[in-house]
Amino acid sequence: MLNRIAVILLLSLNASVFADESRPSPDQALLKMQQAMEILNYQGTVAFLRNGSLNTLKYFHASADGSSQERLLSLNSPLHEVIRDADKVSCFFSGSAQVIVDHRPSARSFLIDLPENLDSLQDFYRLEFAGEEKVALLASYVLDVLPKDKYRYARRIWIEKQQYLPLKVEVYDHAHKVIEQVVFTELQMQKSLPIVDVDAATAGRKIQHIHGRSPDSFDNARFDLTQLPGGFHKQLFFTMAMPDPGHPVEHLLLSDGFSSVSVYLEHTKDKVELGPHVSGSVNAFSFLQGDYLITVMGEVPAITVRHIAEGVQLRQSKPVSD
Amino acid sequence: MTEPLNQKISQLLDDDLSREEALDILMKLQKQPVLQRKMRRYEAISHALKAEAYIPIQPGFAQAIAASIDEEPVSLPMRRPLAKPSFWMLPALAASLMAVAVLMPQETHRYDRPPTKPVAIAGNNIESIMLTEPAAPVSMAKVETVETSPAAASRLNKYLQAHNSSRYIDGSANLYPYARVVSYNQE
Repeated sequence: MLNRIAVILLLSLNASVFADESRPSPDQALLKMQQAMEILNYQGTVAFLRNGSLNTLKYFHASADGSSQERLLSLNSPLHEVIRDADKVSCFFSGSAQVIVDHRPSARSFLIDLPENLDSLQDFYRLEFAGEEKVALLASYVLDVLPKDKYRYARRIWIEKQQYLPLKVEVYDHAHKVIEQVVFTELQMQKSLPIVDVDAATAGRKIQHIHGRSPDSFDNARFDLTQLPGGFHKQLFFTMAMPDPGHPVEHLLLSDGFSSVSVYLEHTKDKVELGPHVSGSVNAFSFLQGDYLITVMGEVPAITVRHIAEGVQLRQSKPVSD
Repeated sequence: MTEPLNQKISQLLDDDLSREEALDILMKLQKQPVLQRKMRRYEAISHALKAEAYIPIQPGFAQAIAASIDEEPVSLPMRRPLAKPSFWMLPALAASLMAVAVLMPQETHRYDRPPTKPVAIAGNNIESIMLTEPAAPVSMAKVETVETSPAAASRLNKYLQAHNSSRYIDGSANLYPYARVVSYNQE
């Protein structure tokens, strides 16, 4: 009898060892997902739950010759198509025949923001498997991305076990409430998918181009940051020429890889609403320093935008030019 | 002939017949509608005597219910075919039970949402702090969350548009008077 129990115990231990060997570590799974998202061709239907609204869109990801393209096709009004290339986002509106081409120095995936370098991630997030589940009938690893401090939100990612594509992403606030959700309701792999030539598709149509986001050196900014939550780095700085209220707005983009925060500075003499604001998962905090309105916003907790805002200081040497 | 039959019916209703006699009278009842009507009358009299009330039941009531049940569509849930018991089933079951016993205490939280410690801070403000929060004190006294007014929302919408491209997903970029925003740099 004892021999039989020993054999059973050995078998069960072996099974668990094999299971661990076949399953990657959490950071390996995240790395594989990052690569799969970039190089694979896939399409499906994605539901986006953001800012309290649910949008269901057909999703296409095409990759060829080292370049990739994301395409979203709305299934409900307002009917529109969004195409993300490496340096721009193009939006085609069916009803108004309007086309907007937003030239962005760094356009991130519509599905999930991922850091380019995963090495530094573990200083600020803890990665843990939380089991396995099926999403859109596909078996997936459930990976928790847990912040080590209070300055960022927790995430849960369902990673498909064969191809390592993200099937579902949820972002939670500190009260465990889901504040953002992206989920594939069906997903198909393809050998290849066409990359849409946006220039050809928009030929002969009236297009609104958004430029003016050429990266500049942060040394030229009128403000400086004296405190930042760990892991947040300056990604981009540029000056946007906003027509309303009619003068330039400085924009600094910060990111810790998963979450991004923007700092805006503009000259104003108008009466403006100050303090904290919230819109879905986006928190913002506005305040005045002299005649300058400073706003910090991002998909981070309120405490984070407030913390960054408290560290904004105007540079004395920068000449004021309006 | 009729009288003994009536007697038997009465005894049947009073449960005074042996099994063989009861089967015999039931066979006869099945074949003779006259006897069936007679039994219903006896049944009604018996019921009225016992309950001091009489609720007439229409002839064919039971048959009508039976017919209705026959007409009901039958839907059976799909059943997964049971696996054939094999030699390995018992050891596998034992191993599974052992694994459950060993792993259960640490695995019960697996499908919970990521662990955070909810609700802290006094007053009307609610904040929660991650379990792994560092000991460093927070510099601000309060974190308030308020709904944004339309005027502030307009400004924030412009900022949000510049912040990331998610506004294109819901098509809300088109709802904003975008022409004004981009007029400074239109081609």
